[in-house]
Amino acid sequence: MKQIITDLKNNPTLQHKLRLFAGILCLMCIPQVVSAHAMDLTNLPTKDVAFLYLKLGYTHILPLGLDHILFVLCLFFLSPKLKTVLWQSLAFTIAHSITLGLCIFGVIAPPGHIIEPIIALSIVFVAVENMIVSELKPARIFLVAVFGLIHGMGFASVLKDLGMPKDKFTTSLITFNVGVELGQITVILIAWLLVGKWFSKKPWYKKRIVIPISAVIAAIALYWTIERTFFGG
Amino acid sequence: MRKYLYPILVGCTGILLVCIFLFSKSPEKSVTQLKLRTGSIALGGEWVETKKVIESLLTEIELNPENYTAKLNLSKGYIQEARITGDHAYYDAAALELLDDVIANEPQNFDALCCKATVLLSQHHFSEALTVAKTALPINPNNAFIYGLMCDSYVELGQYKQAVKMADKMINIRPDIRSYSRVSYLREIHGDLNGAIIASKLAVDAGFPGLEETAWSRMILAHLYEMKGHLDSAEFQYQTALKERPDYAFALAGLGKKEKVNGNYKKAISYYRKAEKAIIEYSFSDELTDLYRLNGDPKNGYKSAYRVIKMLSPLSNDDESVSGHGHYADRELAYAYLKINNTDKALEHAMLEYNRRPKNIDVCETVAWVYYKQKSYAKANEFISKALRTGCKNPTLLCRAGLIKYKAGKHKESKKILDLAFKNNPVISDIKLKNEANYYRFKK
Repeated sequence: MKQIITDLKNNPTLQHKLRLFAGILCLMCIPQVVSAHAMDLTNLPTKDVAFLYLKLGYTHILPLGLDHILFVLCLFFLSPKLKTVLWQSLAFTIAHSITLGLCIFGVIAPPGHIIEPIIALSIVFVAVENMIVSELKPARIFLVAVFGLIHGMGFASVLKDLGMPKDKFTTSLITFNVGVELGQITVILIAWLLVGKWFSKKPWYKKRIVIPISAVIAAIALYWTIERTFFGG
Repeated sequence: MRKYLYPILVGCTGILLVCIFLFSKSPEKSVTQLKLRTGSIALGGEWVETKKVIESLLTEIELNPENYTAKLNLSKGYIQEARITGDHAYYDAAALELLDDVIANEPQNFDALCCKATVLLSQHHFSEALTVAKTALPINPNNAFIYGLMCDSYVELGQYKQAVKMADKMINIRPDIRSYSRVSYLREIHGDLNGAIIASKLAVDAGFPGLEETAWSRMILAHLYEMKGHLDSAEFQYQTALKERPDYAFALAGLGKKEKVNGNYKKAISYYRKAEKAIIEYSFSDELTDLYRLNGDPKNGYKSAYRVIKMLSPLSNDDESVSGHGHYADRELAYAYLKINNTDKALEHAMLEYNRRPKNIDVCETVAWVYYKQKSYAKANEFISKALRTGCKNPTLLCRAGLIKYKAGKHKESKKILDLAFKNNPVISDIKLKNEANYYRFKK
């Protein structure tokens, strides 16, 4: 045990890795931390409502949102630099917050049976794009924002199903979005830790990692697109 | 070739997008089906008739998913089925789904709004029920039932003055079993026991013999008689309910309670077990917990206590469901946790309920009792004073209040309250509480 501690003290890289692990674990623990009982939200303190919706946003990505996870992974694999991918994630969150807000306030009411297949199609697009482009272009961030607008409409159907407290509307909306963003960051950090950190600079990174993984993601998403379009899945 | 890949991707995506718009169809929602009844409640013509009607409504909806009249009628059937079977978790959710569908298409449908408020009340979502009832009121202000719904919401939220106003309006429009029942309850919680009995008798007389609501009214009347110490009259109501509605679970439980207070624990256990088999109702298992313990069978007592927690936990939404879904059963859970001596969990649930409706006297009583069990007597005293504010003379409440006041150092007040609790020699089914209260009543 002493030996391990001494090694750890003398090895800043190991310390850095452990800190990262701890950070990721903390993020993954959020659902447990906020697993409060359901409340009659009308009479509840704002902080409880905030925690509840933070949890809902987070769990809507991890572990429930497989389609969103794949989308975020697609963003990550093309350019696995943390800074770049976190900016894309932020653009995605800002965009989906806009449509989410518009849907919840009733300004727009897109039909779920149209939005869900388009969400799947957006994943197909970014996955195939990963395979055919050689590097990340600035236009990608705009594309991500556009897709974020569509994904926001999907999030809205979840929130509408669950209901929102009228007197704490803004709080719940903001914390839900923060939860979604934290969920995305968790996915990115895990992917970076498992893949990006070790292999992103290898010459074979694109050929052996990006293309096969993107192909699998594209196939899954294409299946969802067809299923959601023709079979209402 | 490579330079064409991106335009091809964009083109294919465009084609798929068009396909989505052309071929994607709105999924049809499947309607929750009727569950087959089991046991004694499946006997008799009522179940045959109910089944026939509900199945025909389900067929109508299947043929025409936009038949909102059928959906509304089906929701009414499910509300009734929830009451009869006790399976509120299943039928209330099913009814709510149907009603939301109806209201989304006909927002001014008075009947649908009333039914929705009824379901929300059953789910203990009192604030929401009040909001829905208030939406329905201007559509038909001359309907008695809507005032009943508002009365119930106000009572549960602890806004008793408004509740009385609503009950007065209701009874002026339509004096029937429902309005008399509400008047009876309001008189009871304001300490007018004789007045409550008179109103409750009128409710029973106004009901059609054999219907569930009439049988339930008899249970209320029996409970009032027990508070007055009129055991024979209470038993008569239980027996009559059983004659009119064979194997009525609450009447069986009533007879079980009578046996319990007479010390016939084995007989009481058999009544409660029979009731437990008839319908899903946590309170029967809760009573069995005490009975097993009194009968020298702590093992079964603990089993029963944990069964109650298991029954109530899904209802209280331990999952992440939020407003509008599932039942709130935290007050009941608080008492259930007290029975396994987990006062921390009991307090957690009691406070959840208190946060929802801090003015309700029953909730204040629950919080006070949990604090008492935690030996936080000053806090318990604070909450029990709130619980006593309407002048309710429920002997269980008074026994608890007397004990709390005593421990909080208010001995004179405690004696006064305990004397009042035992004034009519009422039935106090919690034997331990009764003995403890009696001890402190005479302690110098």
